[in-house]
Amino acid sequence: MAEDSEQAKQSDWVKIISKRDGHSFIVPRDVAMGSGFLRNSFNPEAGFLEGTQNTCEVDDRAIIVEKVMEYLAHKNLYAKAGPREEIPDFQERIPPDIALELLMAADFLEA
Amino acid sequence: MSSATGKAPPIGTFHECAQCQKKFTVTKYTISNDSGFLCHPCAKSSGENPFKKPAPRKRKPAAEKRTVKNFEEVEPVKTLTGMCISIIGSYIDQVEELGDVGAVNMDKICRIVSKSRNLNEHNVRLFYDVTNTSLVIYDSTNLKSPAFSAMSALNPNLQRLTLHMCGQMESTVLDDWSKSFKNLTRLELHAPFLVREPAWINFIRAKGPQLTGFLITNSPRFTQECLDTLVESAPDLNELRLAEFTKMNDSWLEGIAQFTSLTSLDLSSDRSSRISLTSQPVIELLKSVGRNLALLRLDANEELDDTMLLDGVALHCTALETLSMSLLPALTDEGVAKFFDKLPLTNELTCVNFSRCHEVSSLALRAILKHSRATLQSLNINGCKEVDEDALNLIGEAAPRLTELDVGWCRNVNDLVIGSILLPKRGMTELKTINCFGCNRITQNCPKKAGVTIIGVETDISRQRL
Repeated sequence: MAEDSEQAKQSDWVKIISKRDGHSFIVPRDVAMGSGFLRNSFNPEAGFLEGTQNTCEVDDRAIIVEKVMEYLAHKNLYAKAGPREEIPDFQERIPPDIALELLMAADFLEA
Repeated sequence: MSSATGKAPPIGTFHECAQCQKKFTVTKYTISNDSGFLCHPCAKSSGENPFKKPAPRKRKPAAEKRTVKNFEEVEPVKTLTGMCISIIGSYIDQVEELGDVGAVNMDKICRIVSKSRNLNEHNVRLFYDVTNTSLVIYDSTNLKSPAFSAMSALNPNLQRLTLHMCGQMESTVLDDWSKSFKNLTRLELHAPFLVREPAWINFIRAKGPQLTGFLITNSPRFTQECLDTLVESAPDLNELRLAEFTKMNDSWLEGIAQFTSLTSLDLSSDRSSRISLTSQPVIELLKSVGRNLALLRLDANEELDDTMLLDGVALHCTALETLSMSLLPALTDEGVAKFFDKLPLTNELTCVNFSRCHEVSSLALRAILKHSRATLQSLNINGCKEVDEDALNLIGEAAPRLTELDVGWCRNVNDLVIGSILLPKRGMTELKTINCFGCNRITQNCPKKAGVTIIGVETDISRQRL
């Protein structure tokens, strides 16, 4: 019974909050699943609180979280691309001055 | 041909030609016209070619028997980590463009780049600095000798250098290093197996006097002569590690005994060579150097037995903090228990490792907890499979300062044991990690606690999308 109500709480959208700046980002669940860390957090079977509340806090600046969300959306869009489709290069959308912080965030989130 | 085709009379019989009324033999090429069957000459004169084959039946084009899948390399979307590393690589020479490098933990960046095996001689320069006093490279696999030599030119003031996986490092590197690295005091190399004996000797002679730490793992070319040079040039060495040296044997211990200022000694073995140190020579060694040792590691020297502990460590070590005696199958439960009863309490052990000593069991565990209850922070009894539940239940109570626990493959660990460790009667613990691989009595009802990582619970496998 408890499982039913937990499943019912699973919505299509999840919220990622930047702990440092307080900004929150609402993204579709599929997009968030592109990150290994978020996938495990939001997995209802894993028993984490985030799974029931569909919210996850991340200890990064908002700019970094935003860029990661942008990447996850890009990844979700082009993940099923056929062999002939041209995937635009995301790398040129990363400004170098956030590259180091973004690397640490990407490593933590398994993106 | 069957007789009753309905049209022609049986082959071989005579028939009258419909045109010239002559008798002829019916063959399978006999053609008829409206009035009857014609003989061969009449058939030819009427224009019809009796030998003409019937028009071929139109067939359906042969269906493709093989479905060839056109296998094209689908380039998946690149990982964000990979892309960031590429960007960093391209901005090496304009590091200021990468933002405030001071705010970022460069060691963490080095770990991340190493973890994805992307560290190469180009982006390693990100971690170089003239003011560096300490440098750790976690994966030097892609660095070749010239890159290692350049390291000393670009980090001239290094005091502490640690390089993991330096398999491509050759003798020339040590030759170059012996002329630079003016301030080097501690050198830690993992797997410099290409470096040859003369290079070792040369380097040790040049740098020995200034070294306080010499930690090498996995070098099959390091000989006893190299060791003798080390004894000569660096008699006041504090930290010594000669681990996984295939040439090492008991006769080396006499030389090592001369390092009387040692605080850290690691002589773990490389099991592949099947050469192990034996107890008596180790006891003699400890007589000489045991006094000041804070760290002692003798893993995988399979011939060491209880006497080494009882007559060696217990009698001669007074300042131990880390004791690692893993993979010593000759140790017995009673022996280890007696050892801990005998070991002076001035040895305030924070880290104890008896993993994969299969005989070690409940008596030993109780003795460990009794001796080190106040100080123990890390306990590893992975593989001590017979330890019973009662002894395991003591851990939570007995060791309040424990942060790391490895009870992998201890078959008697179950949910209740984990519960007793996480929630001891006296209150909170400082525990951060529990490793319980191979404990199949733990179920999905295993208790959890915020801030504690439990790895190895089998029922979690289903949750991991492997």
